[in-house]
Amino acid sequence: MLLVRNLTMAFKGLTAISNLDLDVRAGKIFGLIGPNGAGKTTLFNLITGFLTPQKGQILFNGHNLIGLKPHEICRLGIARTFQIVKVFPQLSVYRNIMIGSFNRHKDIKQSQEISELILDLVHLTDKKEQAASALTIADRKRLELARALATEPVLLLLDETMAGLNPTEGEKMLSMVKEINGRGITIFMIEHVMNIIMSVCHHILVLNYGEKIAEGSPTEISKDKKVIEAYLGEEFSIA
Amino acid sequence: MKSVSFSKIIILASFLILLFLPLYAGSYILHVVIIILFFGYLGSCWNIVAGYAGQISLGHAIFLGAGAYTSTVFFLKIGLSPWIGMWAGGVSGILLGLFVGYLTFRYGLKGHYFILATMAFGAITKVIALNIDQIGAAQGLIIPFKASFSNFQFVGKIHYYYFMLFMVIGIILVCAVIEKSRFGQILMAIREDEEAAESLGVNTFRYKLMAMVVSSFLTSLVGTFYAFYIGYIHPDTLFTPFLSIQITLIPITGGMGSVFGPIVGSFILSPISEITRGFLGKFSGLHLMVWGVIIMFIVILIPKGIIVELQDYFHKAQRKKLKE
Repeated sequence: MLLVRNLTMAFKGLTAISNLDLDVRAGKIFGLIGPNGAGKTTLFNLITGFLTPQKGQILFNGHNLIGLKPHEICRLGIARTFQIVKVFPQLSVYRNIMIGSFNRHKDIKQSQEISELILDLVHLTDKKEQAASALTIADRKRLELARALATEPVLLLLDETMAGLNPTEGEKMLSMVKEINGRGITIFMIEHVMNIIMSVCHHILVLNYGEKIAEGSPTEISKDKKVIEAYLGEEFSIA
Repeated sequence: MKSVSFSKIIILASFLILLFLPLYAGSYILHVVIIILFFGYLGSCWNIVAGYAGQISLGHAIFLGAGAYTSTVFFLKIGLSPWIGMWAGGVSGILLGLFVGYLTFRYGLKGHYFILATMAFGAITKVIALNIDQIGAAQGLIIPFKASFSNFQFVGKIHYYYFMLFMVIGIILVCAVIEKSRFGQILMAIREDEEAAESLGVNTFRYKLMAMVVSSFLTSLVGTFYAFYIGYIHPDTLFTPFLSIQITLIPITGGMGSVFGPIVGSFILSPISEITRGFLGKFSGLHLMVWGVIIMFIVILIPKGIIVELQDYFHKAQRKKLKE
């Protein structure tokens, strides 16, 4: 579904991503991990058109994404959330989601129906008239997820949606991500919380200083020597 | 619920007062209210691109000037009725809006840089207008007074008054429709976070340009009114930064991004400006200083604008009641 080949991106001599290859398969949950500054968010920005790479290819269902604007990429079916949440602070929760649904619907009535459904899915119905700025961090993260879903994507990029959440909130988010995936939406997620990524992802890629150091199933990753050195620090066992 | 019906009563009452105002108001009062309506209208136009879409333009006077100059030149050169010239002025506003919007948005000018660019366009336009002899250059253009309907020239102020009242009602309806529409909601999303809007499939460049053109078109429409009401146009009065600033201060005072904000703002700021000019006019520039001090107080005391503060107040009162 998503094919990245030879991708290279450097900021003034600092290489953020170098010669990266990866394949995200339809219907799966693909995890991306790596230490701070490994180039994870840069990769998301490249895929969604916020940055243009110096070299390499990004193909999505046969479409070349390089050179496209972020809104065109969203139209093709890739939605994202941001590491630092970017809700529309002064707009109500409901209107935030409406903006997402406008991606596929010109008619305001249809958008309203879809927004109601999504509100329900992310359990924000009782807060729909509140301004997004009045929400807690956990609610804001769910709102961002909801807004991205409202664009009706086939591939959803989640940039650390669990970060900053307490265990209960994290569980809630996790079951939502699973439910979304269960509906046939492919998920590509950056995450720091190891037991989450190990328990939910089908396939994991480890990035360090812009280079792929390992790739495989959760079990393979947790035993990989390089990963343990660079990232895990000690052998990680799946609980 | 109560606050909604309360605001409806206020709107209806002020509409009726304004509708019958010429019956009991003298010529000076009528003039002041015409100016209030005129600036309320301009503030509303500016509000579309700045209040809703969040693109603060400090060069809006050029659109007014383009409208005024276009219809006046057509009237003086070929005798075209200002009623038609008004639409020609509108077209010039569209073209100028496209030009300014395309250049600034294409190259991604945001925040302060966008403001500076629009100011620069204002300054450039003034220099150009001052140097074209065909449009009067530094002498300006005088419109000879020949009262007739087709000349958009009337004895007394009553016709001008009703024209401006009609335009203000029109712009209120336009803004109310925009606010509820898909278009308006997308503009607000751009104002709140452009990157997020873009990531949700919004072609932000196109929407910002559309907002700019709608705003510049509506602004340029009343340029004709300005020219024929005053009877004289000059680059120093039309393309002045002060006029652009005045257009922005009114919605900021009343409440940006709200339908009635600019109109309310004009009812507060414009009379102060007219009255201080009337009383202190003989000391050149003093009325502007007084006006400026008053604005400073307003900005400090009600930073969100009057309408927004009032809404917040009512919301809080409602919530209190719900809790009880």
